[in-house]
Amino acid sequence: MKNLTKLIVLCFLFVPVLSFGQRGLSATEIIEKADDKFNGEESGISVMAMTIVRPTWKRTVEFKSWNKGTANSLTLITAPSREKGQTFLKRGNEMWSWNPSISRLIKLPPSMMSQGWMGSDYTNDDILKESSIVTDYTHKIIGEEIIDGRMCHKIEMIAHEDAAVIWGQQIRWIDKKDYLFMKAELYDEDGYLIRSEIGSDIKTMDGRLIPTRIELIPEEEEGHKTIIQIKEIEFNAPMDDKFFSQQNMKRVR
Amino acid sequence: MKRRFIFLILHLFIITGFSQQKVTIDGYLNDMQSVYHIEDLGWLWENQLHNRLNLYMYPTDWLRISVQGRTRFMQGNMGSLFQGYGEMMGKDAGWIDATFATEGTYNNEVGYVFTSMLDRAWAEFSFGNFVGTVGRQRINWGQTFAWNPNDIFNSYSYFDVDYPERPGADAIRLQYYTGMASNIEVAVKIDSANEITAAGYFRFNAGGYDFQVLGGVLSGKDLVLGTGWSGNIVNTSFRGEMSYFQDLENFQDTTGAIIASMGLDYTFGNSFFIQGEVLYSGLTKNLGISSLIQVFGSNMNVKTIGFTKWSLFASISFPLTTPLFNFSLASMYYPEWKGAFLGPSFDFSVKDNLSASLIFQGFSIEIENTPRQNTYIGYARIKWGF
Repeated sequence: MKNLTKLIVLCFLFVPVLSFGQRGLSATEIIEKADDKFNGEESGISVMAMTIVRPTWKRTVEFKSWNKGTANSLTLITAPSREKGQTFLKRGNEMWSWNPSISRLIKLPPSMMSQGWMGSDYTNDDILKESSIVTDYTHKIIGEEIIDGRMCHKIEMIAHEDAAVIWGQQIRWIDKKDYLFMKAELYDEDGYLIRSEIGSDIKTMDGRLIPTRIELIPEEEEGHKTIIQIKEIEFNAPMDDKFFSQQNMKRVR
Repeated sequence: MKRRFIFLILHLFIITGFSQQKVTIDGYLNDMQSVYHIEDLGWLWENQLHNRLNLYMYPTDWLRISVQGRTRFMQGNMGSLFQGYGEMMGKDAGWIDATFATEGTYNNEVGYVFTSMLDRAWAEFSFGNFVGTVGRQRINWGQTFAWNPNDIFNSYSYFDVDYPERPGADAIRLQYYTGMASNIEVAVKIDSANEITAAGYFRFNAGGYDFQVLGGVLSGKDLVLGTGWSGNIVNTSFRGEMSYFQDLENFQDTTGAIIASMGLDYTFGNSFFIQGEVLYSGLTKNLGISSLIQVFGSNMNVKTIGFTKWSLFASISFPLTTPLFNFSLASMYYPEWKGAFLGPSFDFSVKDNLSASLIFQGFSIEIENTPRQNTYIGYARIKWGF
């Protein structure tokens, strides 16, 4: 009886995969699969370092972040020493910062959320949680190309008119075999290329193969880039909505 | 002295008792050169070597302990002009005396002060939604930036450029989190004069705004009732605080007064930050301010944050040439004194954990019918964080 149950469960697990395999995934399904892989489906915990590279200098910030869905996130800055210990909580459209050295909780205005750290090409909104690349865009496969030795789907994404997104249009290269984001080109509403993102250092983390180094290269600035390194990541970590609270902002470490 | 002794023993116990547990230490070391030009006093200078250590201990899931202190070695001619300068440094405003200072002179002229204090020493207990904190801690109920009428446990001078952490209060604080962005709490503080400040506080979030209300007794003398908020109008922050103070001994008369602040701040896409704040104080009558030194050097309490009935504050900050090099300009205006404060500063990130700053402060005021007084201060600081 027990074995039979197992078999039925196994069949259910395989059927959708096989059928996907047969008819081929739609552009949206490919994006969704890649996004799940990278963003950990429901929730994730990650430890990252971000390095700002400019022609004459570079600076690094390190942080740990907890995400659940697109609405909830909590980020703890772990370096440099000046910002260490500060946390940022995002719940829906609201965001707060906690500074332990002055025990001060500050409600941040929306204008602050789009600011990059140290002039990074990444913004707070990026760090905390990108807008949904699945639900905020329409997707279309426009070809295939080899990136870093991997055959990729080339997918064009156009933002929905009412979507609150930074990028009006994106082109993403997604590895055909493992559904990895290998490259992205991000365009503004007028169709100008603003920045490119390139994934590399593909490693298995928490049982998944992912690019652990991502370079963000702004289009119009020579010698400028931002490097994100994923040091640790845990996908689908069980987290209650209650985790994302002002109480926990002051406690996480 | 006795209190200090108990304090030290307590901390030796804590440090040795939990030395096997998870411990983190961080802090900074900085050196700051200050030059003052104060009318009638001429030129003064001081060099300050300043170390801050923050120790955190996490012995169990529900217990967190922190001991933090600052140690400074100051040299200059400030001491030779101010009688009791070193003594002033050694004064602890808290119930427990955790401040030490000693002073000396070189050739009867240039003096030095060595001072060390513990400004945080607390144990925090967390059980579910309940958090209890006992010991020297910072209880910060502020919502606005330049002046905080709701920050009744710990007021400070805006003009102290080298002490962002501010002193702690010897207190017991019990917090209960009723939701994601709401909590109720009760806090009781006792100071060096054995005066008690005790208040209840409720904070909640509604319609995209944080709101707070508080009520209690300030320094055993005044009833205090307050409210504050933080939210935004489109993309601009809109924050405010208001407190009402009423002398408990003369409760029947109409001596009650309001202190209120309100401000806006906005960050542009290019990191250009702009901020404005206005303060009203109904408690400026008996301040007895006659000299500029009282303005920037005083140990304040929440009732004396406003020097004149109205005070205006505006500041801007933005990166110069690179994000490593930041400029900010803060200004205050006191209409009744036809007076102003202007504070431009430059901040440069030398390396990941090393920064250099140049800070200027200029004051020019006319207090009632006295002649105009001008003071200029310059600070140069290099700061290494670890």
